[in-house]
Amino acid sequence: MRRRSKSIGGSVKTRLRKTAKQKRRHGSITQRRRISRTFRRETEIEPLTREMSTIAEQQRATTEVLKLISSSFGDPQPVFASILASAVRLCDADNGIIRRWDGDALHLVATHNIPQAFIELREQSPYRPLQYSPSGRMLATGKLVHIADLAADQAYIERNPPAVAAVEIGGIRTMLAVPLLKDSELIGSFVVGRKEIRPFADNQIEVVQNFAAQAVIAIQNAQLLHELRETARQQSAAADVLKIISRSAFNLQAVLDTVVELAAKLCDADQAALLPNRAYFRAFATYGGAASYNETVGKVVFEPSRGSVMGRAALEAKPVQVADVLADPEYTLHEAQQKIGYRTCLCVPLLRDGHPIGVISLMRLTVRPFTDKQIELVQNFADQAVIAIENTRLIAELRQRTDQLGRSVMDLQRERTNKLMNLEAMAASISHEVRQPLASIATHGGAALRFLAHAPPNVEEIRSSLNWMISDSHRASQVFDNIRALFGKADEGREPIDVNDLIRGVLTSFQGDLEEHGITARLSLPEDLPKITGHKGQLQEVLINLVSNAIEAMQADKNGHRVLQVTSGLHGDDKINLSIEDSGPGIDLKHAKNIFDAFVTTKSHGMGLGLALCRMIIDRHSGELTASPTHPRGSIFRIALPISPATR
Amino acid sequence: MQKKPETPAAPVVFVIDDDESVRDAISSLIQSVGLRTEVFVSVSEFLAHQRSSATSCLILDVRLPGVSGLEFQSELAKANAEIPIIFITGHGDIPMTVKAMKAGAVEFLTKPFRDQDLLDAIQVALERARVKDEKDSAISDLKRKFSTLTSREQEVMAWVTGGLLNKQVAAEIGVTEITVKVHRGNVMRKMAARSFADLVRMADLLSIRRTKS
Repeated sequence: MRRRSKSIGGSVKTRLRKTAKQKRRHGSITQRRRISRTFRRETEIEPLTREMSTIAEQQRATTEVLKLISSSFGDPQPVFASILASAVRLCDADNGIIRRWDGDALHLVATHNIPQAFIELREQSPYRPLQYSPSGRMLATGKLVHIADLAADQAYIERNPPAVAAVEIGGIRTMLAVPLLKDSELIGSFVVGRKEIRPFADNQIEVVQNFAAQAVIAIQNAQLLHELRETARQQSAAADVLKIISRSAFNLQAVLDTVVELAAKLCDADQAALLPNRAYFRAFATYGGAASYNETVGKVVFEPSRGSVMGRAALEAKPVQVADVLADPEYTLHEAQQKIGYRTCLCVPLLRDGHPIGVISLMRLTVRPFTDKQIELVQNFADQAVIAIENTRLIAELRQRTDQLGRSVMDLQRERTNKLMNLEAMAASISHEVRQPLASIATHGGAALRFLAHAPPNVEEIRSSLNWMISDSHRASQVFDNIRALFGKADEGREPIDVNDLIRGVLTSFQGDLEEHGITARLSLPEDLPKITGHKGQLQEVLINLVSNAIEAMQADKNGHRVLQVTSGLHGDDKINLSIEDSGPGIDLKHAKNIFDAFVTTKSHGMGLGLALCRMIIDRHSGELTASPTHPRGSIFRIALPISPATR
Repeated sequence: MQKKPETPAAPVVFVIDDDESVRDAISSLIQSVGLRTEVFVSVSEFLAHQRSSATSCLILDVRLPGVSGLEFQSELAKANAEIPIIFITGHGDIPMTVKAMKAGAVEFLTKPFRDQDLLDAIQVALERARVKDEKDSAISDLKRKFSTLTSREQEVMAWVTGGLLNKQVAAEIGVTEITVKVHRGNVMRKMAARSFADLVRMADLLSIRRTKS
């Protein structure tokens, strides 16, 4: 019998030869049966051979793609090109397209052997395949769609433009569309096509599915890397903002400018702005947009309302995004929108204890919503902006308080200085008051001793001197009694006083002097004047002094006729006026204010208070004491005192 | 001090103070040493009073109603009616003291002062007054004598006391030397100058000396 040979290739020939030999010897049906068996084995073997080489090639292609994925640093474009090329080649197709699906439209990712005209056509507008078109069916079912002849498909027959374009411009007849699935979510399509009508074999379909899966991996990788990069960028941006805040703690504007710029750049916005709630702070910042944008933003008022995205963010105190403001029925900022042309708008409120104190708004000129990650990032920036704003406010408050404190201290110091000056004035006038009698005592004493030394001693003179000395001692002592009476307990002894009675009493005590100096006293004291509240003794002293001054002023002038005019009356509806006018030489306006400075002149009446002390007493009664010259000659001293509330 | 007989020419001390007992005390003290005194309440009262030719001085309180003591001092100086002033005051300002002394006050005393200090100051003041009065009367005497000279004689006196020789004077005024000599003799006689040096001194007091320009 023939030996069974393991090597298929080798034995065939041997067998044939043997069979031919045998055939010459035997010839028969068995021989023919052997030939056909061999032929059958051939047809079985070749496909197997081819399959093996295909698999090997696939493995090679896969390895290449995987290498490309790992070395492409997340840029999927070259990977897709390679995947597509390999797939088209290995499944014996003519062309291929990979598309991305974003939930709304299919976007071209990569093409292979597709005419440029077709690409341009597809790129003109977002491709939203109809439900019954091949791509549409694939999208709807999430399963692959295999069309033997696109021209025979319903979509083409109905002259559906994309289908028509695919056939006539793209040159596709047989089409295989495989969905790109990421965790059973459709993210795109992988399409291969043939220019002639030749359906794909099962194993070819398997190949495409394999490469489709790889494409998904490539996409996933790219996405992961992108996300990683994004996170890194965001973190470094956050660090940047923190750095700026800590460095420019007092420059709020710098911080806000940085926040807005980074937010816009990192979230890929076309324009961004930060607007204040004017009740809290006033600074604002913008990024992107024309110069007029900055001006416009500066005028916007931040308030809750449904008419703008910003208003809604203020209302709800949380981020609000409107994907397309033109499609939003409640949106009312049409003028602004038309000027700037934005579509997507995101507003994140700046929150302080849950209250919106401002807003960051990001805008895109196309409709492309911000992702949750981006919104989170902006919230981060918003928090940092709030910190900076709060810092600035606290610092400003601190400065203000410090200034106020400084001013209060200055005020207190000034008051103290004034008080000291008053005390000085008082001390000086008391000292003066006491020196007069002391001088008199000492001088009289000296004179008396000298008169004693005369031969004979001049007893009259001595006696006179001694009498003077005694009375001067009492005068000196009286000064202190008067001071005590005057400045004892300040508010004790306040009583209602009739000004007219007071002045009449004082003038009575001066009767003798008035007569002696030939002074006529004229009184103009209306009846029923309301009473004032005050310290009787002190006010009396003031009047005594003013009358005494008047008498003296007139005494010095020997000509003309001496009139002392005393007038009282109502001043407005809450004050009493009392004036004492003399016909003396008058007040030189140059010295007018000096007369109220400390010093006194000695008087035989009263304490000889200086006008400074008179003014002090009147001040303490919440009144006013003024002096001015009068016409044709003389001076007039005016006292204004408030009417006691009870009698008003 | 002995009591001097009161004659119209006896020195008098004026006192201006608005405190009655101080006025009386000072007046008493002055009288106790035999001097004449007159008291006033204010500067205007004092100015209204006629002044005799007697030697006098003034005791003045610095702060008085109306014109202040210091102002009065400067006004007197301006009017050339100077009288030696002793200031007294019930205050203790030093700047005022300095001002008063610089303006020529004899003394500045604060109350209460020692009576001897005041009396000493009065003596100094009266002496100053006497010397000035003497000088003043001497000058007025010279003036009177000078007015008896003819104008030519006055000219000659001015030039010769200015240091010009007779010859030069003659050339200056256009007369002969002999004429100059004659004028010179008259001048000496009329002015009652004891020597040429005396004449020069007189010319100085009269401020009439002329030198060649």
